[in-house]
Amino acid sequence: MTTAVKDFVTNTIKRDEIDRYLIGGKDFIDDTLIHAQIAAGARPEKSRVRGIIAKALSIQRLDPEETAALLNVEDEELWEEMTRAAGDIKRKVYDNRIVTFAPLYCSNLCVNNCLYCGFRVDNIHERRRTLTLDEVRKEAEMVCKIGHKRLIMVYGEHPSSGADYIADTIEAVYDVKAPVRNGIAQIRRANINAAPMSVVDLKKLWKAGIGTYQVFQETYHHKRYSEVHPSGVKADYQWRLYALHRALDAGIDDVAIGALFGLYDWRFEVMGMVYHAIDLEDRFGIGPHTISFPRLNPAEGMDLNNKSPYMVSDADFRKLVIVLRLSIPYSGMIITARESAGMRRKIIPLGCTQTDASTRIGIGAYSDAAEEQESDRQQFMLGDTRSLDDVVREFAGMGLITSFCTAGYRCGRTGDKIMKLLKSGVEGKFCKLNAVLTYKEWIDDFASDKTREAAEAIIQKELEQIKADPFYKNKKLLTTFDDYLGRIINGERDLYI
Amino acid sequence: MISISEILTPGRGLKEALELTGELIEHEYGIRVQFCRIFGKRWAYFSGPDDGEAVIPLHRIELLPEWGVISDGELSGIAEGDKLIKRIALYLQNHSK
Repeated sequence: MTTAVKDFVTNTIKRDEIDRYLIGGKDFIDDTLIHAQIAAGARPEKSRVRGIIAKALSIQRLDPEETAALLNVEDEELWEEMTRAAGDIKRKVYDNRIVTFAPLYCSNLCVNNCLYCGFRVDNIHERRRTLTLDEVRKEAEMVCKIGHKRLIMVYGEHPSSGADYIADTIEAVYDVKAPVRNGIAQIRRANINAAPMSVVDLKKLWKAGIGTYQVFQETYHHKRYSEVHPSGVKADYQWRLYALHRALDAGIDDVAIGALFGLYDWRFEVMGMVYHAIDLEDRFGIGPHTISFPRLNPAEGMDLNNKSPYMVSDADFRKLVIVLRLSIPYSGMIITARESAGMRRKIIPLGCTQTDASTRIGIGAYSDAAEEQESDRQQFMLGDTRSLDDVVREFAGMGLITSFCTAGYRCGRTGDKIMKLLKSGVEGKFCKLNAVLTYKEWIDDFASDKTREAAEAIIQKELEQIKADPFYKNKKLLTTFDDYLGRIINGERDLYI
Repeated sequence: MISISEILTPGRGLKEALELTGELIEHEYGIRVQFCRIFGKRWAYFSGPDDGEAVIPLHRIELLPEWGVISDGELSGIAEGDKLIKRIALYLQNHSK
């Protein structure tokens, strides 16, 4: 280990930036209490479950005891009702759209040793690399040419990819202008998945124009967390648990939570995420902007991924998505290309709001035009490598409109403001308009003939719904929307409401 | 309603001053506004109507490199609108010092 890496590991954690959030010296995850709540929720009465479903349908976040009850439901009829409610909640909050994004992996050097991760420091098979800013720009250009407007940029935890580097990469991707069919394409929102940082460092990301800051706790169970994170900065559970608290204190007002399902009991992880949302809401009035729920899958050199006693079956995966959708109804939910195409088809209707496509997760893989996955430069293996065009066409077949909207965070619909708009259903109205505007842009700039046909049919349906919705008439939005759509058809770009 | 001169005083907190400014603009001109911090492409909500409704973002004005105002009507179109915009910008500039 070099001196720089040693110093990084020693100096990254600021104890006072953990302690300030503890209550009585404890964090907000009480393992014993969560286990007790799950046990106490066994065999819930039908009427109680229906009451909980009704609460979720009114877009109120559930209390832990209510989530525990849902996790214990065995009655098939109730699961069917919960499934329907999950889809209804999603449509109520986010309308009929699904947002797409592309991951952009910038570095795979890492000081940590997470037993499930291809980037772990002890994995000697991994080819290590940190992209230069020119390489980052080139990757972003390739992503723009696919048609994506939104990135999730991913970094290993290492001094070579610290806050200054991350801030520089955010600015670099925003500068990229890629020629496409009708002019220029740009990245409009750069979300970040990076290690927990100090408030000082997080302010650098804020000033650079970060989209959402995403930190997954991986597992909320303290003991299991220690087992699977044996060394490195990430070995400190609480430094990670309060990463988003520090982000909000630094001014970053869109934050995202996640757990890696398969590390510990899935029911416990769902409860952990609910507690995480509650603590963020209580302290900042801002819950998670999105929730991610990746499942363990094979990664180069990682035995744990095949041997974990907590692997989540497809049936349980479906259940956890439904319970998460009901428990935190205002948050976006992200399902990624870790899952197979078939699994994504089954899970998306349960309330997912975002997904990726044309995904490459090797470092520099977009520029290399890598067709095959390469386990020695990836964090994990993908289950679905279909093109964005294929995925958009499939969504159209499912009746979904693919949205490339990034309007909210460029219109002040952020933080506690967007939380209120999501809960009241108002944001969903904007989602619908911006979905149509960005979908039309994408069709004209990128779609194959086959996809265009399916997509135009979806636009017609959406237009009929927009014209019939009194909200748009009352808010006098139709004139502006019609004007923007007409201008987009004539080649203008990046118009949003 | 109190006047803009009474609102934009050095002793008043920034958030309160901008909230009152927004209320004044809505009351006087029927235009809803929301003030934002600008970082890169992000226009982050800072202050605006707190009624569960959104300000329809038909107009966006950069007051300063790090401050913007979103409105559902054209502020520069109202009587002495440009003067008002400059005054708010000056207040923000002084407040940032």
